[in-house]
Amino acid sequence: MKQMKKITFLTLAAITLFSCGNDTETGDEQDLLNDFAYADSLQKQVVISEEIIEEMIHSIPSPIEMTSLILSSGAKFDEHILNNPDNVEKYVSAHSKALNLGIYGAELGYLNIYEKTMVSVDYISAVRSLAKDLKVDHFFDFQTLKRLASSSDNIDSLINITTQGFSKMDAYLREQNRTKASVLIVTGTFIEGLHIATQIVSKTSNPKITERIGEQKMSLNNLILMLNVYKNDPDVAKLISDFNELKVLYDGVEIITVYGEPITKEVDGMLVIEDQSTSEVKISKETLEKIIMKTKELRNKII
Amino acid sequence: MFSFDKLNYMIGGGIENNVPLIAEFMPARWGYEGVIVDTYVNNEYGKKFYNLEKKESVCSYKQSYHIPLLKELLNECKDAKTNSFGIKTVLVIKNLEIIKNEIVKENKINKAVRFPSPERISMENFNIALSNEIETYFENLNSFYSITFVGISLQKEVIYVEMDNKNPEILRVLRSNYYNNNLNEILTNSMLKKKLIVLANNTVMQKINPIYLLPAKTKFITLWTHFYAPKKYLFGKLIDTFWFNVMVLWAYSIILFIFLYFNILKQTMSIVTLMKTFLKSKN
Repeated sequence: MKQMKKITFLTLAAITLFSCGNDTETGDEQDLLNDFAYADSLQKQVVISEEIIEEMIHSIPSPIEMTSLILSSGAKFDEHILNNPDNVEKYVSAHSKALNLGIYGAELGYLNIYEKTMVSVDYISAVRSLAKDLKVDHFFDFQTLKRLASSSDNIDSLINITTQGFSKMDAYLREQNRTKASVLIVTGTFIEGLHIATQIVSKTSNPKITERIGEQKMSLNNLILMLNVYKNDPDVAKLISDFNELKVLYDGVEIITVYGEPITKEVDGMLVIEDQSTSEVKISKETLEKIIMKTKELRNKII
Repeated sequence: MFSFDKLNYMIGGGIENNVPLIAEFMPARWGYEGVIVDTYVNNEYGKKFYNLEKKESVCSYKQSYHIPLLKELLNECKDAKTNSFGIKTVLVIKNLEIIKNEIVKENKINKAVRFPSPERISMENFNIALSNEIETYFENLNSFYSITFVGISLQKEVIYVEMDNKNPEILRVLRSNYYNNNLNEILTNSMLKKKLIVLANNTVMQKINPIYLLPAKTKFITLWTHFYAPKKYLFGKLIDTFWFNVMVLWAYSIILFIFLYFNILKQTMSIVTLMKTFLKSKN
């Protein structure tokens, strides 16, 4: 009996002893050096000025601009033209995740402009899921977004926070040597913005939106230039060839800029320079039809 | 279910405490952790991607939370130093201590980017030259992790492409069969507002992605580790949480068996009664 008590005591003592090991050394023994070397050797192949990319990214219109125009044209809200948020499960590669993050970003802009906050909650979840997989979810405070989306009174702050989130994410990606992801997100936003606009035009043939679609010619050229930087990536190469087909159709669009002398005006006690140049977009019905079809085809390949 | 962080502060010890002491004695805590971690890590999807995702998580934590926090602390020190209106000495001392401790930790695990003799970071030695040196170090550290992150993502892409070439459906099926979003949410703590916290001993504690975070190295057994740790130390060797927790459960069972077998509970109680009667008789 005494013997057994001794054993019990020893067992207890051993457990207490082992449980207070030293916690000073860190256990992160992962050797990241190989991964670093792997990326470093590949990085050197791509040399592009960050400023150029930044300038080009800013030249692509934000989805808010396009959708505001759609709203003011009186077009009705149509949920069916959007990408179903349940599709988010389908996207597995980083390439499709980044593209569709851009697409869902554009949908959010469209939904918010039309104050469809109840529906937008699902899209916020989709954005969150993709952003999380790409490790950029810290730019979106999703709890705040969901709270704001619960009432249409907060629509301005909702738009503000989402837009800011996207632009911060973009800056972060470029800062962290992940410009490709940033370019792909912008590509997604661009194609979805164009898709929404073309779908509206196909139903309403609104001249203002048609003009806006024509104006995308410049943005499309910039986009292809940006994508070309990453043409070594086979997925991007496919994307470029698809976009080039759209570009060929856009060659039929004519943009005529009429130069006007800028004038200075006083607005609220401040001197403002107003550009008097106007541009006219000439786009034939057939070309427009083709662009609408091609955009749909291209976009359906991505989603 | 709710996390230990939300327990009453008196019992749970708040966000700064990993697992409340009381919970360590509950079999459910060990069983649940073992099962949930094993489900997430050791499935067909996890087997392929868990290790890469773990490394990705290390890099993204550093890039997105850890280095920005340290940079902010450094900036506060700089502002406090240059601002002649009442130097906030306490703040500077605390911030520099945190920076020093974190650099010491980083030096231990990082062979590529090192800060020479971090002990010299202190209030007395803090000047523009040192501050610039720390700043450059943070920049280098950040680019090290960001480039490494890109390297890891590329490796992930390579696996994707290989699988995609074989059969584009495989990956989708794999993900829909083995990847659970809710489980991921729980194990990465992604809804948490504070992704990292500064502890009272002036070190930084990572709160997000516990499933990708290994516990601190110990020579014996890591019992008081963070919840959802993927692996734990047993006599200096890393073993899967599942088996570790099974062992803990068996150890408890054996101890309780011994308690029952030798009537230890009853004996302790009778000792208490004896003591009481003894004390009474003395009075």
